[in-house]
Amino acid sequence: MTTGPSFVVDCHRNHAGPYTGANALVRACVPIAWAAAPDLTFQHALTLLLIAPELGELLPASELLSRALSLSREGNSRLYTTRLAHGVADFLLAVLISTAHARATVRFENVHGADPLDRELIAVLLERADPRSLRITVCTPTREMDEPLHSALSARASVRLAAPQHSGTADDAGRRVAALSSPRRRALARRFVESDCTSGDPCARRAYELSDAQLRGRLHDARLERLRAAPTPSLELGAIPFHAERASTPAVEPLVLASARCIRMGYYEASLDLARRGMRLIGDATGDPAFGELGRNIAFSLLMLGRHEDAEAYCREIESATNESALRSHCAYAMAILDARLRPADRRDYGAARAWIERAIAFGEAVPDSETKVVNLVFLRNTLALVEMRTGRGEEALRLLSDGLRRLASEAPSKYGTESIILLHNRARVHVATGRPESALDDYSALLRLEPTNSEAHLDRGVLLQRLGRTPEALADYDAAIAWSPPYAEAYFNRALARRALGLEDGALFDLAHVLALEPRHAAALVNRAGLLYGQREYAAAREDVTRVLAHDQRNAKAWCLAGLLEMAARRWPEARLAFDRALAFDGAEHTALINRATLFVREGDVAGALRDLDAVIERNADATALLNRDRILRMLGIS
Amino acid sequence: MAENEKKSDGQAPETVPTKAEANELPDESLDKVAGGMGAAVPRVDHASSLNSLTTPVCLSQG
Repeated sequence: MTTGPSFVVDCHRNHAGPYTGANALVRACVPIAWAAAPDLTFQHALTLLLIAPELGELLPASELLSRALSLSREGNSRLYTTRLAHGVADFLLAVLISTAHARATVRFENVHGADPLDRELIAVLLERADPRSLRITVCTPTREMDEPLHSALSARASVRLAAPQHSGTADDAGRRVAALSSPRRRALARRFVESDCTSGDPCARRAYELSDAQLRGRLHDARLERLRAAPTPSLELGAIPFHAERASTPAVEPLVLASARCIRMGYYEASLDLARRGMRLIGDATGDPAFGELGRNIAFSLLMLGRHEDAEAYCREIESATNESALRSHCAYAMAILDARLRPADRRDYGAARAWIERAIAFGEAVPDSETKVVNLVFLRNTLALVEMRTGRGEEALRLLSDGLRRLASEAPSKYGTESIILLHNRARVHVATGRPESALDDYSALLRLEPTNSEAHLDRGVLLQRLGRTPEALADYDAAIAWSPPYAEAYFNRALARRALGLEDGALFDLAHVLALEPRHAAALVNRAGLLYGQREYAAAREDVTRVLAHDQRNAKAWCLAGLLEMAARRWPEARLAFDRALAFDGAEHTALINRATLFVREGDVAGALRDLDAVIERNADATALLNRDRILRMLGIS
Repeated sequence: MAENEKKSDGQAPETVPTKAEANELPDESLDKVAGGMGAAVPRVDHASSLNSLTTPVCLSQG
């Protein structure tokens, strides 16, 4: 096989934080892709620049793209980074296809030291890449691996044991280093620090460990100085805080900044890790100015990672450790969100949530006046609105959200543009839930005027417009939802619905293929694609999709009905009958199975049975196919 | 003669043609009728919304 492009990337998070490997990979690929297929590369610019801000020097960013890049992802679900991983996979696979290279290879090194986000990205690439066009090698000195990479490797990779690069045990290394001259030992220690302490050379590691604290500090100082000489945004999430922690005079500020940037990007594991390291550096001193922000990032990162018990324990610890009002308010707020929203439905406690909000408000009121204080108090009432909504008091929820928006506009005007987004979005949702679609559309439109690159708002407005029968407008919103986010299944699935409704079947098939690349078991996408393929007489492909649904869900009535149609197309009547009967056994209201079984009944001469099935459908709704088919039978009988 | 019209109250018709009546028709005619009947293709029509687990949590500012 001809050799294609080959990339080797070091994933150790000490270098560039959560996306060290992904950053290095896209920075290596993009110049090649940009030269060969600039339009295609630019289609992926949002994902690429989120992963590697350094590419801004190469990829031109429009004003809107710059706005999209600057949006905070804080508070987004942990799933947001899965979108990013798929965005990188989309880019790599598209580039490989469009440039028709021979098989490319990517070698990820130091994966044991990678952040969970790099490991998630490697898992996604393994799941999506065809090894004939993209060979992926994952290098790690251990077989231990967490999810989802463990499963992806088990399913997609074979393990090979490579000869170790460096021979000898740690003891051997110790003996060898002890025998070296001081300058030689210092040089080895320097080499270890230059590798951001990731080198696998046991002698270099041992030389560093045996150096005195002063020398180590000086080596880190020197490395830090060199790194800062050529500012690289990603290093601020990895090497810079790493060496700042170990410098002659350790500094917490780079850790605070990196933790803040990570939580803003939704990189919660990294934010938590950096905040914990920062706390260790200040000795958990509640009086340190960094304590509040690091504490906030710990509480919210734990919350967003779904580590609810840890979040709760941390918030309670803060309660007894400090009287710092802002942090106490954040922690009470975190508890309120836990009780109102994040716990499993049967463990939610709206009464407790109200009490926590009241507590958080009391602490929030105690901090000095500022626009941030106003924003936080408004957000607290936003959570109260959620409680009101969930306890059946929609009107009170609306009042709270409207008051919050007015307060933001009058008391925090410089923050209104960014901070009103969530409130407008929530008010739109309450309007939808309380049967006011036009008011909801007004709120979505106000939100999108402020933030035209908000993918989720485009998606939600699209859903509403589609429900209102305004399909072309819904399609435009789905286009925007897709343009302004790394890929996610809901946007492509909904656009497929809109395209199908408008007769754009090829576009719908393209979108459904994309949904299935993102979520291979997406049953609704498989059913809809099978239906479209059946309509195009692509029976083998349709059958493949039906088989995929039934492999995971034997009780899927729609899939059984499609199986019946495919059996009919093959003129296997008994098998078709069996499939329709199964569909109806699993869902007696699946009207398509009744309509199609009626056709089989006619063929078998059971006209009464056919009419019974069709009437059962027509009783529920005036289905056009059922009406036409019944009319045809009646004409046959001469009674119509 | 069966009246295959819906009753005004929306209930199913009381009488339907019997199988015996239908069987009086030649099989090839049934095949033709069945062949001309439209197929109903099942599909999922409702749009996907982001569920509450994936919508952003509003976090207070530092």
